[in-house]
Amino acid sequence: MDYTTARLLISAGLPIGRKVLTNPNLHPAIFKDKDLAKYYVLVTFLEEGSSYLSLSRHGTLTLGLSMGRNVDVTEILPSYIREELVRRYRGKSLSISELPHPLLCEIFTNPMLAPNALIQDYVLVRSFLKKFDERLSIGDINCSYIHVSKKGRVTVSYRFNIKSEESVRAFYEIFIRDANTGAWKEEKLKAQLSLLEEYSGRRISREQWLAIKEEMNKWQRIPLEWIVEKARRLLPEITWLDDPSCLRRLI
Amino acid sequence: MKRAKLDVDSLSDDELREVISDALRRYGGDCMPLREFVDFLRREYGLSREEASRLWFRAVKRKVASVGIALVEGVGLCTVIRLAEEEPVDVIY
Repeated sequence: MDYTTARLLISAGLPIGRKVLTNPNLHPAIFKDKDLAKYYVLVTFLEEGSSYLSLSRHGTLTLGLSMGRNVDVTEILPSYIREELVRRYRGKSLSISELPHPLLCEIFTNPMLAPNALIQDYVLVRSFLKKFDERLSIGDINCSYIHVSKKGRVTVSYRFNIKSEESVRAFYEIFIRDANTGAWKEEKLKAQLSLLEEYSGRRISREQWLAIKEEMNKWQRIPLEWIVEKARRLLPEITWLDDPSCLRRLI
Repeated sequence: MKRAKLDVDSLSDDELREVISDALRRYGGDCMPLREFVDFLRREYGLSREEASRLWFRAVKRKVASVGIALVEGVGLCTVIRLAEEEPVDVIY
């Protein structure tokens, strides 16, 4: 399922899940069936992942992929740690480099705390990439931020990145090239890859970077017509798409 | 032979980078388990466990190093330390 489909289902009344709280594992069937595993990674990337272009200090263009998940660790943290976090950071978000001492940093980078599903995503993606080419690499699972809610709950966001050009291209070959889901994120990635193709291996000027920015601007927001067209294709029997007040819930 | 003891709270970014690079070179990878890095600092520089923790945390805070979770051959899933990657000038999401 992609982002738009998820929004459609939520708009149609499907309750939001509690994955952040229950920290589920992936279904074991995913590890036994290669095609299912590939499909799972594809939809997880389309739903939870992102792709981005960046300009390095050396003036080269790079394309990165990222997959992330959140987990509520309120009940797992030792009570004195939780109390310290709530006392200092209630209602705030912070990165691990803002933490006051190394013990907290060690806790938040412990594999036991990261979301089970993200660890399994990482292991799956890594294993597919290694089978494709043993030299390919994948970034670590990093703690991107910690959020302490006003109610005193502690949620942590983790993600891993794929940054080397070879690994990004391999990821596309393995999981996306033949998928043709028509998802917005898939089309956006194709546009980014085409830009990478055009500018790969050379230093780009400021003007070229600005042109790339302008080109990517149109991918920042999914156009309403695209959402409506997709909704009609997915759910041909619905009539409420013609009602503007219902439509507003989608966007 | 042990090296001269480090004053962990006053190390410059270059000195932190040098200590981490040395440990990674000896380990033989671009990242290493954090636990082994702490052992390296204790063994090679005579630091206490607490001083070693302060050193790697200082490197993380100053964005000289990053710590994360990785699958390390022969070790499994563990917390690792590596030198931080260069930050990009600009990013388009």
